[in-house]
Amino acid sequence: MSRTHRTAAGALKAEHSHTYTHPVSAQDTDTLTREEQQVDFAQILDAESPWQVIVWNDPVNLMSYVAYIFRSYFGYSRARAEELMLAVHHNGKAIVFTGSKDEAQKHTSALHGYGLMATFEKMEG
Amino acid sequence: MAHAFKRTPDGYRARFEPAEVQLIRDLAEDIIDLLTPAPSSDPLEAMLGITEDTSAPSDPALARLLPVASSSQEAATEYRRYVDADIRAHKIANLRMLATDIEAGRHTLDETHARAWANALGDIRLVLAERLNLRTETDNERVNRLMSSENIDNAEEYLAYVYGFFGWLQDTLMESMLESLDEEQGEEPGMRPWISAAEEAAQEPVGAVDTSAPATEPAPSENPAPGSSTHDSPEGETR
Repeated sequence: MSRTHRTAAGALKAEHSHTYTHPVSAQDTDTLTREEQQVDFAQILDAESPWQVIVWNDPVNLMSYVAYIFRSYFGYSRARAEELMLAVHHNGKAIVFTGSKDEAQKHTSALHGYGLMATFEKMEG
Repeated sequence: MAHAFKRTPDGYRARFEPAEVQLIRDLAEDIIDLLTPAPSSDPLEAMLGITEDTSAPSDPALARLLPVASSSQEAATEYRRYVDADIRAHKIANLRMLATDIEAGRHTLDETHARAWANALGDIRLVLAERLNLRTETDNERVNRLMSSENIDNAEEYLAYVYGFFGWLQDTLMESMLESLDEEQGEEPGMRPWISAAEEAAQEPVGAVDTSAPATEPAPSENPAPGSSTHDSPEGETR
């Protein structure tokens, strides 16, 4: 089984039922409507909630290649890299990163650069 | 014929025959063409690396090189729009390095070139696999059978043979690079939890062995080396 890496901040709630409005001066309301101010906060919180990067098994990439990427790009130890690589192979996928949306996107693009099948998904709950 | 990658004090060294140089260079160039983006109607966007068309590529090989990034439609579209151009450029650069190195006879690679070759060889294999309709483990078995056929009788068998060749080549490079990493990271040299393509091939009987090559190397010309992948082959087992 693959293990997830939790960020120090812990899991944040992915679903936000509140909308927030912040106090604005009379001048500010010229530039943003009340609705736009509300959406802003929801988007910021969304981006900060944990996203995960998943590496998916594919029938083409070599085990030696995948292990090398896990070690050299993510800096995993040999043991950890082999563990993850076998998880991908046997379970069909493994979570290789948990963090902000921006970082998850960045890692996904690096993995795509290497030819791996990878996606980034928002953690639920 | 090609010799497997080996670590030397000067770098990772392989040797290629002229026909192999040509093949590798031609394939690299083809994939560079595939990856080169279509001209954009918005030159400013193009300059900023923003992609107009956020749908997945229609060519399945290109779609494999530039996969959908998320099950979230929004995230995937944003990704396609802002990240696609970078990935294309990165892949093109690696393939370009491979093509120019191999044609110039630079077959001993430092770490930078080795990394570019590793990625470029991987992309070549992905495109070849797509052309072989290799998408599942079952397809893998079919392609392995094509690879091991005695003679090359048709285009598909030739494609499978070439795919196997690139698998063997990339695998010997990755094994060499992993050895360097082991040293660098102070890891004990030891058994890996998989069998490399080179080891697998060494275990199989070969038709005609190139006696000028050291015993540990397979002879891919008569018996194409299997392209090992993330599956368990029928003959080998993961350790």
